[in-house]
Amino acid sequence: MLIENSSLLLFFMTAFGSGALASVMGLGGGVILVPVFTLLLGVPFSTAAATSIVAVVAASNGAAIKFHQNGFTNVNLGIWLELGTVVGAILGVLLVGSVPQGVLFFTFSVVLILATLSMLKDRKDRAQTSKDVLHESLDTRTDFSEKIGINGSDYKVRHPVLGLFLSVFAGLLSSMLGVGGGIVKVPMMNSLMKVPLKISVATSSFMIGITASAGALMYLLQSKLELALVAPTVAGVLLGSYVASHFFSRLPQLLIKRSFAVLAIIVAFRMFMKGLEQL
Amino acid sequence: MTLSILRFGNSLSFALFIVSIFLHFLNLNYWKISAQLGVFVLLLTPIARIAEIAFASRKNSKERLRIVMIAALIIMIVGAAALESR
Repeated sequence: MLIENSSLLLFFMTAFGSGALASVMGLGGGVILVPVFTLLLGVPFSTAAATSIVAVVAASNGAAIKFHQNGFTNVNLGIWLELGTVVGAILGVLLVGSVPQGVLFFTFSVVLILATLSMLKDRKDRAQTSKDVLHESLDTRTDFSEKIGINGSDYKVRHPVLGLFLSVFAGLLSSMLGVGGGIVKVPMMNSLMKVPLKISVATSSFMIGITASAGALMYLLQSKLELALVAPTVAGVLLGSYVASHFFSRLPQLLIKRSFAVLAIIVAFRMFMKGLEQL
Repeated sequence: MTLSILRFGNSLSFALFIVSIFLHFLNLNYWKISAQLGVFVLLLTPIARIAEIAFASRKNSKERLRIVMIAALIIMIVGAAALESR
């Protein structure tokens, strides 16, 4: 793909804005980048997804630093579930060429609405923590009790094998749509596997980088990665998220989230309509 | 150590992408090499991180062995898929 210097600057500025917005709202960035690239800049869906997945790796590295410092990440569980997401990510890249663009647009519009709802609502922690509960299945003990101040509380990871199979779907979605896949992994860990919410979020963030890396590597080796798009996009996202986290952290988050929600619903509708056009 | 790998990976790839953009502006073909290096550094960062976590685990040896085995399996799956796709 031949890109003019002015377009390069446009991609950089767009990615900068997307990275800043994603950082303020605690999103991975894929749900913003893909619609902007496909609807505003006319990039084909698979190219936008491939570019976005590389940006997701960069954003995930930044988020993982923050969560690791908090100490909530359950590395053992994350690596177990990674077996599924990595296989899903590889399958996703192999399948993306044979799936009609219209279907990808439809699926993305659903994911965008789910991500927006998830961002707006106060999540209820569906995991029960208790002193009496043991955790023999995966031995996924963490120092959770110390970190959140509930002395002696602990949790047991349920349905690890089912979680592994569902992780394949999360990986598939991640590489096909260019998103992190936290929208599948966090509810799955919290509701199905009964992992406390904070640990689910941190572990999902830990996993996203590895899943996205596997997907991006496959895109790169299959020559589906446009380097002329990747360079300004990743540089823009990294700079945008850095600037936002240092200078915009005092902005009224609720107002921004609600404004974004309205915008996201409009974008989801447009992506749905674009999907109809492509079919 | 883990955090250093992440910070180093992100910073180095960012620098390589910025260099790539400048080279593109100057119409020098080397921009592709710089961008490719940036992508490789970025993609290897999380993989280096799990390898580092596996080997630096302070937990018991049985748990450490399990983490190493699963991490090795993940790296093998990615490697096999990468070789197959070439």
